[in-house]
Amino acid sequence: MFEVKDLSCRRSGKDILLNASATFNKGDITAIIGPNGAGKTTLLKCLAGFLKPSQGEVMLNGKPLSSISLKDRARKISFVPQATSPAFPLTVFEMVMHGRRPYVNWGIGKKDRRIVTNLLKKLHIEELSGCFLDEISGGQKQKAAIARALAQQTEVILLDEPTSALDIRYEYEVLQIGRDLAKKEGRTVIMVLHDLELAARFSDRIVLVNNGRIFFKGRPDEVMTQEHLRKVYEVNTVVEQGTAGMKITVTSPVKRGGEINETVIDNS
Amino acid sequence: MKLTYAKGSPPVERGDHYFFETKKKIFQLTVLFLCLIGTIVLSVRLGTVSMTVAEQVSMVLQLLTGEAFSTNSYIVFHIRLPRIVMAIITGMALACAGVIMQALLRNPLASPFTLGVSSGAAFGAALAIVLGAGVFGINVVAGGQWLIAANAFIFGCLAVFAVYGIAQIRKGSTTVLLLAGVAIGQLFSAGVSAIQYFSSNAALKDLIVWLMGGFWGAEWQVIQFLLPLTVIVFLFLWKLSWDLNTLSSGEEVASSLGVNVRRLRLTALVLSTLLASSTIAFTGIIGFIGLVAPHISRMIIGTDNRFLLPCSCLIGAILLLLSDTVARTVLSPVEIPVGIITSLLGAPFFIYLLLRKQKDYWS
Repeated sequence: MFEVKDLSCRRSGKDILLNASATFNKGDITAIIGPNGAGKTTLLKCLAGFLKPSQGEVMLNGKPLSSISLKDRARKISFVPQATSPAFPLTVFEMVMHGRRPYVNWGIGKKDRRIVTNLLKKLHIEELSGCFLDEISGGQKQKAAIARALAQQTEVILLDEPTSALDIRYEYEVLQIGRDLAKKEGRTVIMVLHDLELAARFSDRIVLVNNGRIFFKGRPDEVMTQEHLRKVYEVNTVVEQGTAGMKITVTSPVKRGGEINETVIDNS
Repeated sequence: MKLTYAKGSPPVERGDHYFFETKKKIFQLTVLFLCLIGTIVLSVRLGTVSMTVAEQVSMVLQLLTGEAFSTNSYIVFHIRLPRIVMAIITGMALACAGVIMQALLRNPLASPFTLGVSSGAAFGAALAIVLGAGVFGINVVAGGQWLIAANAFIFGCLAVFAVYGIAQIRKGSTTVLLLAGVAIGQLFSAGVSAIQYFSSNAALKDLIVWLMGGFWGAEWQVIQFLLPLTVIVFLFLWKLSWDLNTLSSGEEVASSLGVNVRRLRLTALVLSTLLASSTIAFTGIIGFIGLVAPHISRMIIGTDNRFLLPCSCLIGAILLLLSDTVARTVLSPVEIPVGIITSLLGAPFFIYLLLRKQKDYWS
């Protein structure tokens, strides 16, 4: 079980996350959504242990994250960053092999090679094994980054906007991989997403963040209501049930300084 | 899309490919090592007094049997050989520092120069040469080598810590680190210029000779100190290879892979500064090796620091030894400062590599 309790994070004298509490269950895929600058990525980085909370704790299986050594943490929580390029050219195989860092000291054994090979097969990028990362598409790169995280063999997988800059095919593939990791392998998958429809369609639970606070959390149909979206995103929407999930259409922006209600509805 | 694991006992062609690549890299390292040995044999032969392979063999026999040295043997063991060993150590140290700094800053431009080590060391040396010459009234390059070296080392480290300190205040971004390096470098260069402007003729000559870089100061005494230092620091840095590898995908990824990025940065930066400044201290400013050797090595052996570091050290040693041999012999008996040769030969060669390469070895 992975949870945050009363978590706050301050940076440069400003609270960017305030009193956030949430539980992420095994086998669930959770999307963290919210407007730009709401604190989604901060929450994810606190979960990953990159940012030190000013208050509260991230707990993994009842143990505070800060008490777990970096190496052990790397065997329990993996992180897939937003699309980045390595500083120097790496092949796909080499990059995925980096995921074995928490397990290897120096030499790479047969077992490590087999794990990486199987992951590449599993994500259907084995032909790209020897390709350099700057020779492949953004979607393929994202899959390679996921493969690296999977090579860490962790129970929790965090993804920071995994679909940014991907075409619809890769968007679908990447999110489906995330969903399968939770549903078929029982891992805890947590991702920051911008696209509300995709978030509603692929996740079991949604955490809606606004102004550094968790505004609402629950099942997609509980979170994605016209009222919530109006308060958080300041837009009027039509929320309908489409053929493959929710369909959210923005009809008009809410006038600024109007009747926006800042109160937080926290259902915890 | 359906997720499936490969069933049964999976063939590991890709993994095996990686295995063969690893073997290939070890083979390449062996070849480079042999090239270094070849270069050593060549540079022992060449010089104002040139000698044949047979003479070289008889010298080794003389050394082993404890026979009295011939004149040629004396030249080799007391003049040529220390210089060769010094060139090798310096080449290795600068190249190693270059790889580490490029990996830490995730930037192909990083080198002992861009981080301010060289200009700091130059300032320290200038201070020692000018003030030392003024105080003791002796030729400091010949007499006070250790004073110059100590000063160069202290200021080289000082420069890097200033750079690192500035970057820390600004949350340690690598761009700030590099820019701060350029700024601090300029500051110390201005200091060197000022010292040059106000120094006496004798000191000025010494200073200019030091700034151009060379292995005049090569003595077994210095090597006894530098060799173990270089080897130990190299081994420490080599051990960090995996951590440096993960850093290439960014600090967050490295951190998520269990690397303490802050500690890694500080340790590796301190060690590589120690490596670069301690050799620069005795040889003066030798440009280009710290930048070029890592790039050439990446083209040969790839970016895995486990192989890149030794490869870069070998390339650095070979390049610097060749340059020094050219510097010694091309206008013999007149010697040219090796710093001039490394830049003169290195720059066009590097530009050639840039033009013919099929792949960007940085992004």
